Amino acid sequence: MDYKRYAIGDTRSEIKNPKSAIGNWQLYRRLVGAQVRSQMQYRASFIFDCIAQFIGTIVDFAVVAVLFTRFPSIGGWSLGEVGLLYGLSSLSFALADMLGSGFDYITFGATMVRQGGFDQILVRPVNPFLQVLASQFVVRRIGRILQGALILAIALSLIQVAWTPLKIAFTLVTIAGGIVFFMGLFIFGSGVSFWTVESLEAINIVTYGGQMMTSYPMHIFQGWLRAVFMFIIPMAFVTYYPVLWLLDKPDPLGGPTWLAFLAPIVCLVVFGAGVWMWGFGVRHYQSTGS
Amino acid sequence: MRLYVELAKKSFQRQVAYRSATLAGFVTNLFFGALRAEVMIAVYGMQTSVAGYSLDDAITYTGLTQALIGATALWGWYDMIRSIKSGEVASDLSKPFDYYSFWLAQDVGRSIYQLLARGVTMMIAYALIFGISLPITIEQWALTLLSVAFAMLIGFAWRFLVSAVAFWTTDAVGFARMAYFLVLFPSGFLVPIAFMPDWLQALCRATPFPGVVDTPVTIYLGHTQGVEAIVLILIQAAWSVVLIALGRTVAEAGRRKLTIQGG
Amino acid sequence: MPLIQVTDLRKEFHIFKHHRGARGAIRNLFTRESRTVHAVDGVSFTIDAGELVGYLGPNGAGKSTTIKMLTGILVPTRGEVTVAGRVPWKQRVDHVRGIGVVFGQRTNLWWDLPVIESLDLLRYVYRVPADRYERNLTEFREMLELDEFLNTPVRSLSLGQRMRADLAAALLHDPHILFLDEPTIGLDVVAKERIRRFIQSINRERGVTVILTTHDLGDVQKLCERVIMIDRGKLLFEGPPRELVNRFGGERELVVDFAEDYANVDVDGARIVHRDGRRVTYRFRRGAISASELIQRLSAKYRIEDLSVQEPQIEDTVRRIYEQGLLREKS
Repeated sequence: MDYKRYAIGDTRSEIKNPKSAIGNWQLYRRLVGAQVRSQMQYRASFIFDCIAQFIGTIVDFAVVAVLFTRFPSIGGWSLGEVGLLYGLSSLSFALADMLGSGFDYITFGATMVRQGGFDQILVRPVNPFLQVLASQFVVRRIGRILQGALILAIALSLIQVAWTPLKIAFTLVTIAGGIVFFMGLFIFGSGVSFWTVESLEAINIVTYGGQMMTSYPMHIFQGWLRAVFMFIIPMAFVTYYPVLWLLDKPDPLGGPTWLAFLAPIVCLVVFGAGVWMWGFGVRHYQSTGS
Repeated sequence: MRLYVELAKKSFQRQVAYRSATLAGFVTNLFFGALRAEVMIAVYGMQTSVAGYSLDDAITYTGLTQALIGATALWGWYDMIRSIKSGEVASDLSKPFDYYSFWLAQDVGRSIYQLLARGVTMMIAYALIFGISLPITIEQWALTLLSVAFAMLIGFAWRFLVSAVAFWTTDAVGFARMAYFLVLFPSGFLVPIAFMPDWLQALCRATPFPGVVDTPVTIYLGHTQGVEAIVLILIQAAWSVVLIALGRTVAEAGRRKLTIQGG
Repeated sequence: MPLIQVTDLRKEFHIFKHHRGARGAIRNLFTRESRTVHAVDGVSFTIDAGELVGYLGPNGAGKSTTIKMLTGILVPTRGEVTVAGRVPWKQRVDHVRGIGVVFGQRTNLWWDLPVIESLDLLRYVYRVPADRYERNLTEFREMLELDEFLNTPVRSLSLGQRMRADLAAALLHDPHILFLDEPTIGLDVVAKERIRRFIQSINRERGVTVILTTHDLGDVQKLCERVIMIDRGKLLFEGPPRELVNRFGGERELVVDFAEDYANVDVDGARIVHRDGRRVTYRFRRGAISASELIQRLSAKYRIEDLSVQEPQIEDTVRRIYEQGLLREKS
């Protein structure tokens, strides 16, 4: 019996075939579409979540605004300048959250690892990374994304920036870098969840804590904290150094201005580390099962 | 009565088993506390007092709020919703105890553990790292403890009320997430209420939520003392009564709905 | 050349001893005491194209572990597996494209979406050409009577309906092998029959090789041409089901509620194992006497109010194999 006649599609490796890159994208779109339709089934929850997101970002920024009614500046930065940090960070995080929630360690650890849902993924002829990526496309994050954009816009209106085409492009790159960075953290978390979910709550320090830290000018934090967020998990490159450059501010800590341009590379490295951890976790799953 | 004490004890013991989760939670809380304390230190700069808060007060404030997270379950509690969704509630309701007290007793056990394991430990950690202000008189200590007790009660009453929505909708989790979220700002958890402009303060105080965080904090810090403190505690008590009554009414309506519809 | 070749397959799991408590947490860091579980312990067999094979064993025997290695989910500790000339976990995508898998406990479909949408999505996942998809869909709709729930979300389906939907989903892309993990578990008699008939026709008319793990000797007798039985990771028996049943097939039980109190309720061909007032439990060998024959003999002598037949448990059969000292490995 000739088994090959049952093979469908190109049997060559999917990465090598350029046609299949488009195929993967189409598949991603379809899977995401299915996911979104699934979410729409829970209309009430969707609306509540949207409202919560809406209120949430306003509340977050209200905290900063209230602080500013009492204090003239934060570490020498004005409301608009802090708003810029905050808006960029919030927007990046919300976009990363919307795209990468499939890797959220709580749902991933529970449904995929513990309950063995990952078996189902391994049985399909599609890259498991793509499947997990497409498994959650959290539409309700739109609320938070819009708020982040709004705050960004307000902040930009409050400050003076010497805009050049390069600076505009760099702002977009910074946002993209932030998305890649935070997604890298999520993916890293999912990789770890192949081993254990018990102590994984601590990863919130990195994700949500990171989002919080990148909303404030980094020089206000004590030495040890700064060291952690510059060298161990390089948050400082997500917003701080890029914004320093955008505002033509010298770094109070004495760092050179070209650090800002290191930012996209750092973000990609973090993403790479996340993907590596993910792969490590998948191989572990394949040798120990669920 | 003994039954409820047993329930509380069991709930307490269940928490003890999750050692590494509690540790992870503690570390996370401590980190965020440190972060917020740093922000406070930075914004205070040269100022010594803002809205009656000294820098020490402000740092202590961040510690206190982080300490109360576990005990008041500010970030969310979904056990009751889960039990209603799964249908366990049918057997719970048919048992010979009061449904409200059933959950209250369990929550008391849980929150006492959280208060000790994550609350007190947080304050100790803060004392070691930052140096915190402490209440001076025994009266202050007593009033603080009383206020914390009511804070936990209000917290529970709100969570019960919100969870009771699960009797009517299959997707109560989304609603609950939003409802829990609403508590954070007016409770004074994110920023001291005293910092806010007057109009915003009035808005917050119109809700029961300052009783969950702000009231015990101000009493602890000594910003309200003596008679004023007692008045605040009475307000906490009044809100507790209101929320408990509401919760019981809603739960009763929910139980009636279940028995008619058959879950 | 056999389609599936399994040679000396082994899978070991290391269960780490987890110490509780705070002191335990520190101990966990320094010591790694572990216990080795041999889930699959040197299993070898071959399966030819077009066969319908039953893979039996009691709970924890290593059935699921073997299937996971055959489908490419799990990597073995030692041994070789070749499926259609490929190593499942090494050439995962290619391998998986040609197989269909149905897990008994989990569904392959999207939980909140109508069945038809899941099937449509899978068409893209497996890149099935449109005309082939249409042809298969029409055929399955008829054979499995899918129309009654085609537009229902998967979460609202009954177990039997979900199983039918999962089967259709697993076959849409014309796989040449179908792996079924406990497909009839939890189903009522009618549903079981429907599933069994479907599996049979898939195998006979389409030539799909079927490997089915089951606990249910009824499945085995009605469907499988050959059975492979494992227990505690080792191969116990391999051959036609008739041989298994005849040689080791446990005794069936007949539970009779008599209408009167009889002093002596002996009957030829069966032995009494339990008596409780008017309820008597008989055991009889499948090869020795049929159930209807036994009932006839009993009703000729006594008045019966009610009765039921119990099938032997697979654990029984396993025990009998051990008792007869048989541990056969086919190379």
